[in-house]
Amino acid sequence: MNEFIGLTIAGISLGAIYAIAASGLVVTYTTSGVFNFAHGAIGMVMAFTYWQLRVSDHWAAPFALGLCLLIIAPAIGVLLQRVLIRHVNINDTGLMLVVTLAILVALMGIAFTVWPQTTGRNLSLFFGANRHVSIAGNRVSYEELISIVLAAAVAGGLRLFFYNTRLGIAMRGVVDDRSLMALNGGRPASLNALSWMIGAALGALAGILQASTSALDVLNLTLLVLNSFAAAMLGRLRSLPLTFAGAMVLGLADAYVTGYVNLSGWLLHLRPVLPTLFLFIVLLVLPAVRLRAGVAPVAKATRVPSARASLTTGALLVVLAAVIAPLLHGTVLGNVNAGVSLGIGALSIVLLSGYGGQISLSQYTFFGFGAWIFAHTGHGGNPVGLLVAALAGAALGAVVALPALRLRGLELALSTLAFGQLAYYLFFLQDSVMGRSDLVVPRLHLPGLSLENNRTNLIVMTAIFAILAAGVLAIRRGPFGRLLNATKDSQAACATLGLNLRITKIALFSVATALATFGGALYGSTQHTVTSDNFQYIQSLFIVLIVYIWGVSTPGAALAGALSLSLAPQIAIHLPTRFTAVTYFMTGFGALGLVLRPEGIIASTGERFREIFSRSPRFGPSSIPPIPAEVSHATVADA
Amino acid sequence: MIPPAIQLIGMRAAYGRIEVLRGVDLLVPAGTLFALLGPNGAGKTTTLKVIDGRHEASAGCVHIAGQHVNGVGADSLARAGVCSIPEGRGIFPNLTVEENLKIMTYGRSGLSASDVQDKTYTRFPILGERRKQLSGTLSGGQQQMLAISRAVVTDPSLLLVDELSMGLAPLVVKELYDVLGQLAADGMTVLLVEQFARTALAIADYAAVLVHGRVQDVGQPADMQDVAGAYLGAAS
Amino acid sequence: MPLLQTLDVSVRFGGVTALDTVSIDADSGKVTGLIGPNGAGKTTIFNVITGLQSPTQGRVMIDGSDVTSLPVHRRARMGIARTFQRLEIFGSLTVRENIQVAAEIRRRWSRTRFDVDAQTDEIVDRIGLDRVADAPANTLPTGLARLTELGRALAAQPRLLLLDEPGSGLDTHESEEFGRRLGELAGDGIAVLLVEHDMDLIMEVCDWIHVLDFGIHIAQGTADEVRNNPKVQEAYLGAGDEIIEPDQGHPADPTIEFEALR
Repeated sequence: MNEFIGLTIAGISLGAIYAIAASGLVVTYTTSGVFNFAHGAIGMVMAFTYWQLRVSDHWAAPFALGLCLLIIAPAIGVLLQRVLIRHVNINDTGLMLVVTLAILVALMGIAFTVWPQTTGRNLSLFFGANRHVSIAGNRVSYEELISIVLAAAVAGGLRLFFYNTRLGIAMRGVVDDRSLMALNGGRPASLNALSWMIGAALGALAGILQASTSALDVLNLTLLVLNSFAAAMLGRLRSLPLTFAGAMVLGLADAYVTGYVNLSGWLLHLRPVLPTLFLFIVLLVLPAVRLRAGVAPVAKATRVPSARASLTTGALLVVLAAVIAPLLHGTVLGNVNAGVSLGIGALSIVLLSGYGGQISLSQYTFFGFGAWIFAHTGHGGNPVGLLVAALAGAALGAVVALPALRLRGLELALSTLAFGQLAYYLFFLQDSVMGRSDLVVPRLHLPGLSLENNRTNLIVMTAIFAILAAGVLAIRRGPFGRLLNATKDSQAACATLGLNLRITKIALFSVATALATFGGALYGSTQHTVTSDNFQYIQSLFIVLIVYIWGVSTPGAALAGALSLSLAPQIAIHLPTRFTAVTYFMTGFGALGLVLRPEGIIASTGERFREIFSRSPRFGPSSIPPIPAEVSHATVADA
Repeated sequence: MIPPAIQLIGMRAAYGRIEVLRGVDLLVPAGTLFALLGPNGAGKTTTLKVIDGRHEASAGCVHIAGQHVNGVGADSLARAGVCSIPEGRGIFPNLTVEENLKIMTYGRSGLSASDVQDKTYTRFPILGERRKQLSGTLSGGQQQMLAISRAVVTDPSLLLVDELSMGLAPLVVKELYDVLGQLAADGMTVLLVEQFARTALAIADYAAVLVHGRVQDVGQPADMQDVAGAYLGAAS
Repeated sequence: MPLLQTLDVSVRFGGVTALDTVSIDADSGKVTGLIGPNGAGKTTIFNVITGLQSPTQGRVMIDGSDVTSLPVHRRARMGIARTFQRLEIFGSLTVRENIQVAAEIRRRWSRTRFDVDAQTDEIVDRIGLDRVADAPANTLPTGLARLTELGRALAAQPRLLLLDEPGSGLDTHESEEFGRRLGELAGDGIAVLLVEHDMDLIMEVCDWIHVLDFGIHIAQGTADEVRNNPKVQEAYLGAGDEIIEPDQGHPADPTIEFEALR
């Protein structure tokens, strides 16, 4: 019995931290309409900042806490909202998702740089490690008690604020109707800023509490947010009481599983993914969250190269590879090789997200599956193994798409993130898969051509990329490409034209995942051996961001992006050890540029060249006959 | 000499590339109840949006009480005494009646929440009975009463109303229009956009008809009866 | 038997009644009008007919079959097409592609073989969009955008065509043109159900008119009958002192979230 009470208290205090984190997330969402993926990262940075002030610079706890919670955290929140979030159309859920992801990654990069992970750091809150009380024979630390008290205070405080003060009421109202708030004399901009200040402060509090009860670790603290996602989703991103309840369930589940279940073998890695599993189940089982209806902005139409242009470019690319290959050697050759093969897999992102408008945050998981399948079916490098990998991918994509049918934008991204994390812990880390030892993946063996030579492999990979990229462009030019654009513009219209949206979505996921596993198989074969480290789920975030940076609707971006990622270590070598987080900076800060140029580097550069070199605009007034523009105000999307 | 409450000179407005108002000239004398009529799509709501600051004119002058207000934000104008009740219920549906009233205190410094509630519940007792109810679940007429309370409690100098009677029963419309009439009689300038010509002409001092983004006719109600009918089709 | 029949359709949400036991019908080969003041429930009944909104009560019959429980795309395949009051055009595609994609969608499920390109060209010409065929749809003025939506609906080769305020944004001349085209479509045997505010267009083109007010079907008849009906005049032109009706409550402009698509 005592053990049960002890576990329960531990569970509640953990749940208390999740509750505080989740409430910050829900506050930001319900009062500004934005789901802040970077919420946990803010908490993480603040935990390190607190450590810096308290432990490293020996400030007194109250001052350090006060500065962090009341000044620095809100300042970060306001900064993010004013400088970045405000400039993204709130109805553009895809872009908003990518931008908040970018902030997450950028903050991690900053943390790695300012506080290199080479030395361990420890944090305790107010009291020394030995202060505790005894409850039913259990040692309960002051920190745990404080967490519970603080969670209760936060719950009460938020309730009071949002229902009894004009400011809180106004924050609830502004998200429904900004212009009406202005007409009432309120200031929507200030209300939005306040929303981010409160969210950040709560995230900071949760981060500091978490760091004081466990470790001060960049990755774990950032991913505290995954736990709060689960609690927040249980509250339908709307109800704080349900959010708190969800957080408690999570905390208790963690405590009971640790205490009562024998975690060995397959279940060894269950504990860290418990919240993720919870999130996954919540997303699949509960009815879809009623996200705010709004007119999604029409993406700027990008030029689609003709068949001839794409084949010519492809051929040139292969020639370029043939020319460059002999000049490369050693690790650089290896990196470029890896980059090109990853580029093939990254084409799946162009298809799925660029053309289809669906964001998946688990592409590396599919790459990993592809490599694993090829290792087992492509003996001696048999290309049939590639086919098997692709077919398996198609089947997997169809299966993954099934729950996705009910999930829209944000929820889909979350469920793929959860899927990626689950797969990493429960599959890739298994000894039998890639956990203990390296998995050997044979080099592809084409009839009459040995790819054992890295240079030959590079040229062949480039050729495969060129062909598949041309194929993806052909899809874009053809009926399926038009269909994807149509479904992005108006699902309702498509349905009323007789389109079965589900089948379309399943087909899209299927083809995209087949591309991903195919690319993963080739990546594996290029690497010779792979381990679970090759397929960490955070890399799925990197690759999505880098493809977006280069231009998610342009196949070239897949290659450019993958090469950027694989060559990043080369840059890191020349920098002081403190700056090894190059990938984080590149993808995080790079993606922030999307706020200005959402179409990406390649497309916007192309646009610039065309403006310089051509005289007449593409669709000037001369090509549209002068018909008076009578407009019903109700039919034009408000500017 | 009191400046006109509203003066628009050659005002143009567009949404992106589509021009909705093509040179609107309008003069609303202070202290009058002015009806802005016209068929759907003529630009009546856009005109209100330009006046209350929600939308910026692309050309021309917008003057309120003799002052140039092009580009001034909606919240500033609201605090300066412009009360605009937009189309489709100017209330926050996810907030209760009481909470909606609290928000209205932003519009005038020194206005206390209890003042606002007293004034509103006196004028509209039914709202008093339902003060804790989510305003989105009120009937259409009650929602509109709540919306128009802002005009009653903040005592603005200029009141803009867009389609007050849309979707409401005649009895309720009558009651709401009585409120408008009273406010105008007390000296408030009221600019009223209305689809239902007869209802508006019954209480207006002046009326203008907006067609295809321009003012086609202006005058007193007595002179406007036939004209309105011609533009609104159906019965004469 | 009319091609389309709604039987006592009611839609209630959040304590307010958007439609109250509405029964209307539309015949093949005729243009039927549906009029009523803003907020009367006209778009709602369209959403119920096409399946984007489930009725709280009542049934929708197409050609004698009860389609009330069929999902949107299955109903569409029975030959219903529509345009939208708030344009749902495919902005990232050109005008021609808008029509082409509709034909391509049809080709996927239809058993009859036909040439997509030929049909697309034919519709583009017939509607008069050849001058702007290559313009991206999101650069069009509303009038042309509405015509594109019409073309897109026609590409689905419907038996029943629901048009939601297609005339708004057209000037007098274009309106007349449009009216003529509607007559032609009816002549081809299509049942056209038309929601419009433009009274001249309605009176000119419709063989039969239904009038809604507050979600209630208050009148129906020929153009002349409807025009002279005192209840209709009341509904449109505003308060008369003699009729006292209890406040029924009416929802604010409902932005339908198309729940049926989930």
